[in-house]
Amino acid sequence: MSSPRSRGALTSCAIAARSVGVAVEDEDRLFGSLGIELTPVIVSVIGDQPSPPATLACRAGNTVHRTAPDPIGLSSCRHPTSIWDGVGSLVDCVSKGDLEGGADTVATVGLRTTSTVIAGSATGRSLSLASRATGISLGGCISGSAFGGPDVTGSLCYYATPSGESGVTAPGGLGVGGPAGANLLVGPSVSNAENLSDFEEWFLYGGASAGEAQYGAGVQGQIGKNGCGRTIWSATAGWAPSLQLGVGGEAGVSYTRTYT
Amino acid sequence: MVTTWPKTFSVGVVTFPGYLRGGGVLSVAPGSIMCTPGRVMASLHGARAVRHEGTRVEIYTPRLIPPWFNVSVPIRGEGGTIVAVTWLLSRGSLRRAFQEAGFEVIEHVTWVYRGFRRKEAMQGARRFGLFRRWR
Repeated sequence: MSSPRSRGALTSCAIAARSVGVAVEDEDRLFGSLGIELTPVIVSVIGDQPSPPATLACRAGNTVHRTAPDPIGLSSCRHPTSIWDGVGSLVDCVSKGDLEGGADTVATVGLRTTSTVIAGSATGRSLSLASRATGISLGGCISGSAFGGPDVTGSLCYYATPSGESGVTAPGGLGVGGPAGANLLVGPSVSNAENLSDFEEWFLYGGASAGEAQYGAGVQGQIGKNGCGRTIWSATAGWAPSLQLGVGGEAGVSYTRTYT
Repeated sequence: MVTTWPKTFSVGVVTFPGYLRGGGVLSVAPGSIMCTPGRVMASLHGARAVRHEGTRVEIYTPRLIPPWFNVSVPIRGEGGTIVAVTWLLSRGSLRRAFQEAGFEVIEHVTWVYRGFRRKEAMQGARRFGLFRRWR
């Protein structure tokens, strides 16, 4: 078994992420240790304190859908800085004739609004508390799939993560599924993601459902690696009403976008 | 207690043959049991309502099928055969409705048999299967 100190010396991404997070919190230590003394300081910090939730190093490798405000403060298409800035952003899209951008802006604002409403609700606060207490991401998903050889799936999920971050994720995927039909899956979801950007990756997904019409239940899971190479999984189980030929199953590849 | 007729149950429906599974409604009235597939099934599959013939109705409850869809009632009539499926908690009310409507109820507790065999249901799936109407 390796000691905390030797483990800290390893340059794994997750440890680096935590370390940078701690260093950012403690500015004096960060600026005092830039350069030559950086590694020893990080090791001592890891040894002294519990791991705080921080993700800066991992995020550098990912694409997080955050806004890039216009330098002169005007709303820009596809980049609403807030829910209220959505109208201005939409106007900008229309003025440029960018319909795709307009749709993207509407979707972004809608999902952020959804995320904000859920996060502010009693359920959202409870999920956040439970997530921090358990160290796993907790939430819920609504998924839809259609299959008949080829399979198309899409989901909307809300997660509260142990880092305190919460938001909506929208995975969409293509694969194979059969025999033929369509189903929904509505239910609670869990994941080992530490923050929302961990979801912003390519995943392998699989799912199955059993039942008749509204008397159905199903599971869906996905697994992949985040920007740091850490394996991230998520699993959803719940009510799965369906219209299908026989028992349904699916598997394929999906990509997830996140909205905070 | 005054019973209002018909009593309706929201059920899952398995078409036979064809083995398409979707939603539907089971209506029970004195001397009449009718299972009507939902609109989506009707339009995709061409499945039509079936009125049960005879005075006996069978309820199958397989032990090894999950309880959320382990109660099935084959409805056999002129329009063919349709199996109505519901969950375990509806079995009692379904049985009472059948009895009050004047039917003899025969209950079968099986291991896996649900009143139809998948192979039989799959026979003719090509002819009666999904999107038949769209060909």
